Amino acid sequence: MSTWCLVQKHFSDIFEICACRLAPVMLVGVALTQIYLAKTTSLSPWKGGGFGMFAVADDISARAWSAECLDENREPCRIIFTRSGGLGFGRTVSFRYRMWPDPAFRALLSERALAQRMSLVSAVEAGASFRLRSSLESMPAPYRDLKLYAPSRLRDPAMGQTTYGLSAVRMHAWRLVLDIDRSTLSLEPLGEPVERGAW
Amino acid sequence: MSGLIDRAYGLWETALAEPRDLLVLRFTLLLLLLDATHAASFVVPLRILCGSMLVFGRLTRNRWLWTALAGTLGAHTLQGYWTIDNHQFLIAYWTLACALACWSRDADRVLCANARLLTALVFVFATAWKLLGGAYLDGSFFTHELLLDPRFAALAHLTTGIEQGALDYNREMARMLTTFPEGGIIVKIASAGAVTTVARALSYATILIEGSVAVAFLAALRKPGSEVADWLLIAFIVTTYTLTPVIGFGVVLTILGFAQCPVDRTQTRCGYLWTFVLVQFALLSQTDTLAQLLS
Repeated sequence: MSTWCLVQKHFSDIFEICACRLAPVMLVGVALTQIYLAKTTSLSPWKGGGFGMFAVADDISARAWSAECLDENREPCRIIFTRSGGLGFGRTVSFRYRMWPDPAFRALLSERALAQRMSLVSAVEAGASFRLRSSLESMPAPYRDLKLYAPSRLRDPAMGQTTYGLSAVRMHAWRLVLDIDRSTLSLEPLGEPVERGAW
Repeated sequence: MSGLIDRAYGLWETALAEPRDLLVLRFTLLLLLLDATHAASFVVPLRILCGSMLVFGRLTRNRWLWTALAGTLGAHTLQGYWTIDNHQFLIAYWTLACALACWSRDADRVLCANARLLTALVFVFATAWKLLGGAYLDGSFFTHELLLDPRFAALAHLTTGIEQGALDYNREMARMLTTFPEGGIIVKIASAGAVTTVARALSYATILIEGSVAVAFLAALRKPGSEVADWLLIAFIVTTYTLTPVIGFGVVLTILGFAQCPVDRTQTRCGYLWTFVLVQFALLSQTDTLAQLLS
C-alpha cells in the first residue's frame, strides 16, 4: 500500500470516529455552558440549549421588566411595556432579553427609553388596552396613582396625542414566583436595577 | 375493517424492509420540512431542499444537500441561540449527524451511534436540570403549571376538579403582575386540595421515567440492543407529547429511537412508527379541542 493510501485511510478512520462523536460533543459543550450561565446569571433555564425546559417555572410568561422614571418635569412615573417591549426592538431581540435580562441589556433598554418620545396613558385605558379584565383595585398602586407612559410608537388608542420625554430611568427585571404553601403569586427581582439619566 | 388493518400492516412491513438509514433520513427530512422552524428566512430553503430530497429518491442521500441542510440549521441555531427551544438545538445536532453519516463509509452505523448517544445525553441533562432546578421534588413546578399554564388546564380540571373559571382568574392575576410589575405585591390565587398531590405525583413520575430512559440509554452504549430502553423511550414520548404539545421534540426523539433500534426487532420498530403517527395528535391539544373533549 502506498504512503498516500495509508494517509488517506488514516484520515478516513479519524473522520469515521469524528462522525460518531461531533454532534454529541457539541451537545455536551452547549449544555454545560447553559447550566453555568443559568446558575450564575439571570438566564432562564428554559433557553440556551441546556434541556432545562419544564424543569422550573421560568418560561417567557414568568418574566417581566419594569421602569421607574422621572418625566421631563421631574415627576415620578412608570412606563408600560407590551410583550415586544415597544422600544424599537424586534420580537426576537426583546424575547432574548426577557429570557436573559443581563445588566448590559437593561442599560441599553434604559438608554432607548430615554431617547424615545412617550405618550400618556390613563390607568383605566391601560387596563382595557392590555385586555386585562381585572378590577383597577388589583393594579399595583404606582400604576394606579402615578403618571403612566407608553412609547408613542405603539400608537395605541389608549394613548394621548401629545408626546413627552423622560429625564431618568431605573430598569428592573422580574421573575414570577408561586408560593405553593400560601397559593400566592409575587415577583422576585432578577439582579440589581440599572439606572440611566439624571436621578 | 380487518382488511384495512392488514393493508396498513403490510404498508408498515414494506416500509420496514427498506434500509434503516434511508428510512431515518426520510423521516428526518419530513421533520425538517414540518417542524424545524417557523422563521420565514429559514423555512424557504428548508422547504426547497427537503421537498426535493423527498420527491427525488436519488437526492435523499446526497451528501452536499445534507451539508447544506446542516449549514442552514446551524445558522438558524446561531441566530436564535438565546430564544429557540431546546428541541431545535437537538434537531440541529441530528441534522449535522445525518450530514456526517452521508459522508461516511457506513451511514447506518454513524446514525445509530449518534442517535444512541444523543438520546442518552438529552435525558441525562433533562434529569439533571429537574434535580438541580429545585422545583421538582416539592412539586412546585407542576403546581405552577397546573394552576397557571393553559396547556395543563384540561389535566388540572380532570385530576383536581378545579374550575375553569378559577384557572382563568389565576392566569389573569399572573398577567396583571407581569404587565404592571412591582415589588412587594402579593396576589392570592385559586387552588384545590388535590393540586399538591397531583403535582408531586407528576413530578416523581417525570423524574422516574426520564431518569430511567437516561440510565437505559447509557447502559445501551456499553451493551447495545436493550429492548427496555426502546419501550421506555416510546412510553415517555407517548405520555409526554400528547399532553405537552411540543411536536418537534416528540418527533425528533422518535426518529432518534428508531435510528438506533436493531433491524431484527420488528415490533419495537413498528412501535416507533406508530409513535411517529400518535405524536401528530398533540396538535389537537394545542387548540381547545382536547379540553373540550375532556370536559
